[in-house]
Amino acid sequence: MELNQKLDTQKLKKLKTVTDNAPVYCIPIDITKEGVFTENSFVGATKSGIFLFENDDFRYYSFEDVEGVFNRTQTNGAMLTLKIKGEEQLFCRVTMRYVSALASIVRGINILLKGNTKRRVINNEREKRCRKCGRALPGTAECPKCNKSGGNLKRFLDICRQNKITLAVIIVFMLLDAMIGISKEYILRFFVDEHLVTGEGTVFDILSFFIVYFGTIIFGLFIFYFKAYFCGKLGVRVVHQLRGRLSNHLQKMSLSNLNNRSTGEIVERVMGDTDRVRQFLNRGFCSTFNQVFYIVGVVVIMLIMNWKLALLTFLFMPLVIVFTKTFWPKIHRIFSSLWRKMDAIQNKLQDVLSGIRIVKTYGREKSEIDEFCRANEKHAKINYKNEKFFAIFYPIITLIFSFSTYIVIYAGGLDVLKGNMTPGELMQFVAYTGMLLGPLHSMTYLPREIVNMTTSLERIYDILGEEPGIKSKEDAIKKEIDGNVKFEGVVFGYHTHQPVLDGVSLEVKAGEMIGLVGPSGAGKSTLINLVMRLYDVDEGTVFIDGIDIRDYNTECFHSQIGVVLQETFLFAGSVVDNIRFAKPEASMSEIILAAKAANAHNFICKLPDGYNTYVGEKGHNLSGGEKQRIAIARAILNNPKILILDEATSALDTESEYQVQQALERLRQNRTTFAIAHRLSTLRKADRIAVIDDHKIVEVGSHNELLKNKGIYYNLVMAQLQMNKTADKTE
Amino acid sequence: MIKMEKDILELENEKLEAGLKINYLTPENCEFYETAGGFAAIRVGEKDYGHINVLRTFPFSALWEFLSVREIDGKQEEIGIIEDLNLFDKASFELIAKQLEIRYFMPKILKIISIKEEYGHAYWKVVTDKGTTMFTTVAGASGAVSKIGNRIIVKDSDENRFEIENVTALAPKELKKIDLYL
Repeated sequence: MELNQKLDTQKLKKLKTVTDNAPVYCIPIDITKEGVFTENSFVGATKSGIFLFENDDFRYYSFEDVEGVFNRTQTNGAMLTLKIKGEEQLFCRVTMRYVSALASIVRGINILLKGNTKRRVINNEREKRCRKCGRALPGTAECPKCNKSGGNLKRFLDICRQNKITLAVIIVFMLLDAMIGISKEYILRFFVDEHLVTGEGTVFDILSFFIVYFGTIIFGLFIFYFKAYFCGKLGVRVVHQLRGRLSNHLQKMSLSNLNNRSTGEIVERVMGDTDRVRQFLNRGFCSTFNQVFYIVGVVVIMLIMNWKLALLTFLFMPLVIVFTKTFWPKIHRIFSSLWRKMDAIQNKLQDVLSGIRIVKTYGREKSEIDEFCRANEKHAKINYKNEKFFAIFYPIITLIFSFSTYIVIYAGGLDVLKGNMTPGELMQFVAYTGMLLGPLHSMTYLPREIVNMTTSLERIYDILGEEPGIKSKEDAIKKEIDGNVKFEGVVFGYHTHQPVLDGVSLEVKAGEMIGLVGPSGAGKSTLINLVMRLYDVDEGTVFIDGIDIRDYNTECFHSQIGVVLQETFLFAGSVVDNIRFAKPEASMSEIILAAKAANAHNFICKLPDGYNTYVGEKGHNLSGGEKQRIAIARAILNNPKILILDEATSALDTESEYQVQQALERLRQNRTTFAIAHRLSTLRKADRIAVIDDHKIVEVGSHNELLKNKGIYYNLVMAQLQMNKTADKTE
Repeated sequence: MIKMEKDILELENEKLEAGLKINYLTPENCEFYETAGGFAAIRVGEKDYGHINVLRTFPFSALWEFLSVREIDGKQEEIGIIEDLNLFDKASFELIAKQLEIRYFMPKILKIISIKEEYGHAYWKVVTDKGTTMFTTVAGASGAVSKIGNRIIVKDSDENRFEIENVTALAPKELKKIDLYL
């Protein structure tokens, strides 16, 4: 996100009257202090002060007069306040549109205020609006409205170029298809004029016509089949190529990249958008494009046969196009509204079925049925209204379509009577008129289909073009680490305006076990996410063995980390596949040894299919403790230098916990271990405990030291003791 | 040591008990005043909290009732709850209302100029009581447009909220434009 937008000359001149320094931060604001929408208003800072352009008002405060700058986030927006002469006052406001940018520049201004004029705060969030037209970007990096470079069409042609042989075959079949369709009417005309009108036709002639005409139809069917086959093949191949590239790219992307988009959005792009490209190739390209050959062929023949009659027919073409275009938004609205109501019904049903136990427990069946019926009734009403609309719409459109046919029959009939045209020619002409109007009607959808396809392509290439947020440098270090970890002034937030860790410093020696405690949301899991380099820090540095974590080769570094989480995720596959996940080349004996160390070998042996038992979704039902021990075996097999235990035993019963604890004890020998636990007793063996509160490390020390200090940790221990005592009494 | 443990436990218990009660702020036990910078501040008994945050606990259904008054910094601990702001004098009411207006900035849509659906997003151009503006909603996203009685709340892709106070007051043409999203 850009944090230093350019001011126009007039504003720069105004700024120049109070300071010689150029802006180092400058972002737009969209509401005034009074809460009225504004445009062309900016807030920012130079090295020496903070400025505001709000409509025609210009304000500037030198840092010498400012005691503090605050970002006060509101429910629907944010305000920047200044502390001047001991009093906090409102400086400017923004809506949610600029909340993140405002938070970043406030951080930057505070750094400037402390006298550090060299450091600049950056905002890694994606730009959400087009810088040119100001419209929200539909999840893409470039604005599809302003991007008129034809980039997407070029991409589409690139895709086609990769399959040029198939494409060439399709075009040949399209030509053949059009030729057969057009020539069929010619055969019919020949038969009528030569054999029926003259009255000289014989049974043999009728039979011959039947065979030739039937043969043409059969041949046409074959051509149609091959055309459809190759079109389908092209579509499937393109989708296969695009999905392969997307999934490959997604694996390389960092969590920060992926967190910028919802899972649904990513799935939609991999499945939905690629499928829309396939649909275009099948329907838009292969069918509608095919019509172009028909239209061109028919128009040429009609003009050659009888140009006057042809022009008369063409008169109705604009009417058909206008009519279709006029009603298209209405039809679109009708279908959209119907689909959305259907979605609402499905969501309601899914909601009720998912929470059926709760519904029954609270005896809410009747009200839920009533609500469902209401949604269903709404859907039925819309459906009924739509059916009424189409009952009127279709006959009218058929009538308009038929007009040109009636005209052709009337004018052509006169020509036949005058002897300017044969009855066969008239029949051929009438057939061609129908052939012309049908494709023309469907051709009006083509621009929309092209827009849909290019938007989908834009969204696909938006992911493909995204640089992974965490990437190894070219000269990244690949080495075995010892496990010394150091946090130095680390600031990090999943959203820039909400730091989860704020100025965290901590040093952990190789082989040391550090317990992390603190309330939910304090930043414990975030801290270990940074140790694992799933994200990069916003400010400060994480060192591993004295080297910046960003200088390591990510793949090599990740292979030296072991993780056991509260919710163990087992992939669909066998037990052995899941243990081997961390080290695919592990031998059978290594796997068994790892399972033994994880206290998992015995229960695995007792499973009906042993190590080959299928687990994961719809697989063998393992208990939480069993899953956890498989995860530990996976971690042991990896022989990690840094071990992460995130509430690894919190969801287990006492017996399972004992077994898992034993396994973890073995696992953590000689490894740097970060362990998060709410149950403080599980951290009694930790060398040191770090208490995180309000996004900062507030206490560090051994269990006994922290108890002596009587700080937050002491209070937490006492509170848990109290809880245990109360629980014992209740039992 | 045992005595100290006991003291801590009692303190924890007291905190727990206190956390379960509602500390109502009334004109009798507190006083609102405006800071020199123009923000709302509170004095409860002898204690002056200075600049405060005021939050609606029911932002859609109770605009002036059950307002949570909190400290501005640190953990933003709750000072107390205003059961009904109307019970306070006019000056206090206006001061808190101004604060709430800033916190819950929600322009009222007076006229819908256009809604254009493109690229899976709906681009709205509207006239609000805060001026003319454009915003975008994700077409088909659940919760983008929600109806509460005759009120409609529109949430844009930046998480800003807009309000149509009375949907029945919209012109038929405007109703047609938003019909798809209701």
